[in-house]
Amino acid sequence: MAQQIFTTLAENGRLARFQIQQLTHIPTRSLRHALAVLVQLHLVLHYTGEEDITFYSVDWRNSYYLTRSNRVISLVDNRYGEGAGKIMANLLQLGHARVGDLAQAFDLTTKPNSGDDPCREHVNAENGARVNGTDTNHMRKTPNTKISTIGQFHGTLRKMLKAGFLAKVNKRIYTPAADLDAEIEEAVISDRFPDRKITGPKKQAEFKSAVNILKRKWRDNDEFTDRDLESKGTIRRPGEPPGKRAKVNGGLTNGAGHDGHIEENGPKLPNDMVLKVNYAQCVLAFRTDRLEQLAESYLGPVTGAVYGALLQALEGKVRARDGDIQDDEGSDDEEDDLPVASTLEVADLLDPNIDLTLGIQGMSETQPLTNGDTKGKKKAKVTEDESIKIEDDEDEHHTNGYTSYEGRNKRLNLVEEHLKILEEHSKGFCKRVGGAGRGEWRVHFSALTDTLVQTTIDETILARFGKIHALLVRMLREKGRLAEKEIGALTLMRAKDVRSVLTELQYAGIIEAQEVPKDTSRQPTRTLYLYFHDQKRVQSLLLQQSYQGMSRTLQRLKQERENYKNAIEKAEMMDVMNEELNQNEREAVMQWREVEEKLVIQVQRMDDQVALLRDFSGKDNSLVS
Amino acid sequence: MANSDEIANEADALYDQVAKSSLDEATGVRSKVFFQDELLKLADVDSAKTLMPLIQYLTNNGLFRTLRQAGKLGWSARPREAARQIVTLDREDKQIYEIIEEAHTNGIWSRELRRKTNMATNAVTKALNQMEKRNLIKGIKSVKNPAQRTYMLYHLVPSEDVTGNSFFDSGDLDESFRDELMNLIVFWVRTQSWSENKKKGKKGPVSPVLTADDASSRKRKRTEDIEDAGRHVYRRSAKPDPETDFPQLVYRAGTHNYPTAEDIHKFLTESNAIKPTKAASLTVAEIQGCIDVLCWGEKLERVPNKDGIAWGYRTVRGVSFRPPGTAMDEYEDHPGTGLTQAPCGRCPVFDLCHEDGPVNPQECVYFDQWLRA
Repeated sequence: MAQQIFTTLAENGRLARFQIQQLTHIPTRSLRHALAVLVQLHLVLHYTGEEDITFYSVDWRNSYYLTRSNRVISLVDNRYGEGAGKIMANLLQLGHARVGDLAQAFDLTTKPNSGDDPCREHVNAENGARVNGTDTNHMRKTPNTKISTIGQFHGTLRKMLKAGFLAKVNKRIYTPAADLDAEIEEAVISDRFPDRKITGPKKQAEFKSAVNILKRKWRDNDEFTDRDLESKGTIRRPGEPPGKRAKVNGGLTNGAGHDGHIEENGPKLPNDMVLKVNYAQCVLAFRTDRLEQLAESYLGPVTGAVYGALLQALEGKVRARDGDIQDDEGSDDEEDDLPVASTLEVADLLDPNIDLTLGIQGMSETQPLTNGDTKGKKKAKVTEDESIKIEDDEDEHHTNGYTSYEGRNKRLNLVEEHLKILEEHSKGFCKRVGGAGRGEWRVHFSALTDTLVQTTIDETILARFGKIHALLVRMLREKGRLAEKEIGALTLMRAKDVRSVLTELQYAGIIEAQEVPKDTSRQPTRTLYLYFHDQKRVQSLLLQQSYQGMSRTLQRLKQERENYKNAIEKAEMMDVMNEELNQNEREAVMQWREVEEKLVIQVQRMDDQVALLRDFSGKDNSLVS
Repeated sequence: MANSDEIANEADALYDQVAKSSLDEATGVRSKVFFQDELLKLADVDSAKTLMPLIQYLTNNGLFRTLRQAGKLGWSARPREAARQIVTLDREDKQIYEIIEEAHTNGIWSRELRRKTNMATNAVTKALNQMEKRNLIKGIKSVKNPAQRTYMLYHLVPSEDVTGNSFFDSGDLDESFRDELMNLIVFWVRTQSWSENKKKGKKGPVSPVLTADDASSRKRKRTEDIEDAGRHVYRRSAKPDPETDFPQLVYRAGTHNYPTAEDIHKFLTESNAIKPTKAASLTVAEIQGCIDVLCWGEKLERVPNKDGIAWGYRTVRGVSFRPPGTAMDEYEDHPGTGLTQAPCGRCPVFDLCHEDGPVNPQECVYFDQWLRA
């Protein structure tokens, strides 16, 4: 039923409830219920206008993001541990949830509330605070990665909020973008332009900037800040020494903080805070991974890892949101707005166990590893992190003394060497902009996103055609429009070989030809063809093809499920009926699982490409609704 | 007025002088143009009056060619054999000959010739055939327009515009030479731009790089005191294997001089790998062309050099040269993208496919193949 409503909304656009009812013939009660579910899952937006009629429309972006759920979970798994992944999975399933309800879902409360929909019930905010240390036994198997105490739970949440993977929910996210804009504009007009005149270039500019300022203000109000902790979290627990708070900030940048214990008794989040997944920040993380892969392929795994750390450090400094305001500033300004990260920060994010001397010539000789002495650079690194784990106290005491300084210094030098190599590379992976913190680095993301798109296009061509095709496209990308003969001369190829390759590429839509008639007769023989490669067009072509590929793969999945229907149904019944599967059925179920896995994984991979082609630049607005 | 024999003798002497001076030109091009004052010097006569009959005689005998250059009249010598033939030519043939001569080492397209002479096609063709038979002119193949019949004087060497550069062999692209040359460049640049890690496994058999999950199995001894098994704090990590992942070590930034186009040119011309005649004709610009192609082919990449003047080049990581004598287009595995890995990404009937159509995802044979693979 929800599916039916969604389809109706998708096909018809914005509808009021009675209109949906007319189109779907669903009884009012069920319709209301279904709409509530859709809204809860953020699949549908609603807006109540002045006439008190509520309009519903599809939230395309969130609907699309459903396909990305698995990637998001595994990303958080990797970065913050299994427990965090579980929180994420819960949130993704529920759409959004209250902190207290989440805690309850983790069985961390002693006073479980009863109720069928955990998100709608009111949870006493006191609950979470009182249940410190009431671990449930079944979660203890690997206590370091799973969440076993309420303190860890809150620490994890807080970290993900700080990193931007989670966001606070307010009712504005349900408002369609256009209505939100209209609301803001209206507010600005009534506030600043009492005569309601916003025409003329000067007024226009003034109006626009006022709108942007208000937008930003509204948005910043919705941001998670430390205030949220202080006002609601710490005050609720009067026994807490206020000094603990400082550590929340210190985690990332300074290496000295012993943050190991912070999760246990750090400030708690208010239980009535409502959270949802911020997909936009996840997209940034995906971009980091992709860029790291790119750097790795050119400069080796260690340098790649260093680059990944740099990107992650930068990632923490940008807050990505869907439907963000795109400032129309010149590219010069854009560069200045980009965040910087210092060598120190990069070093802090790097796995201390990576042997940074690998991959660079002469490094292992000139700066020998501290293989022998146990108090090397490694120890210096262990201390600073915002780990959830309560870890190795004794170790951290070794960090004092001369050797640790020496080791740390060596390590920083090595990190800097890797960063310099990245800077030197012709792809321009990063740029040194200052000297603070052992050098500050900046990454020009829009140019690199472009590089990523180019790499994707090249790889597609390589896979579909071959090396020569890719070579020609790269050349056309650099040279612009060229005639066949010039292409032949530049690539040192025969004109007729060039022609066949060009024709293939043209047929596939990767390059295009411009006709330049030599005379008025416009005969093909008297016409010069200038070939060129339009990256934007190819990018959107590949994006469309990826969409189609995904939808076809999903259609196929449905069909395959149909094929294995009997076995699947029986397997599902097994628990209830205590039935046994026979050999054939068991094999069928196995096969089905394989098929399902293969198809689902492929959809995810195509989604990776969609993310790259569409979302990495942050400029796409095809899904704004 | 002196008698004709005398004129003939003096003219012959002048011709010899002129021909000799023409040949003396370093370029080897036998077409130097002499102006009146130069001829006066060469002929060792004092006035233009005595010179005129000599020139007249030589021109009549086809030994001198009159042309106008920079507003002045000038003359250049023709080979004797050619001259002997020219005098026997009729007026039309002579006209054609002169036009071809005008085009010099660039040659002239037969249709262009027709346009200039305003003669009938078959007349031109006949004249051309005749002169070709008598070794006055020759047909050449132009690289730019291989289909056009181009003519030039028999004794001239076609210019590089016509024959193409070093990569052309008698007007035809020498593909194997091109490929070998590029392969050689890749080979040499790789040795110059990366430090090859020959001491494999010098770090011992254990990987020095650990990550959280494989810490227990691959941990170095000194890490054992840290109970970081199962650490889940996310740190940027990598699992490189020093045995296989580091055959090439990159030089520290700004410390290495990567080979420039000139360096590569120097190496190629001084090595014995290519024929000396080819080596002599190779230019730096041609090498730069090769480098560009290699860059487009993702074999080389540009890096700034230590001195910061010329661009240096480095092979892209993992690119290696092909041992001489192996097959050209070895199969290379491309991982492809999420799209091209899926059956749809390489589907030949992608644009025809839709639900309920003759080609549809439900019954797609490519999916069948892919799923059962």
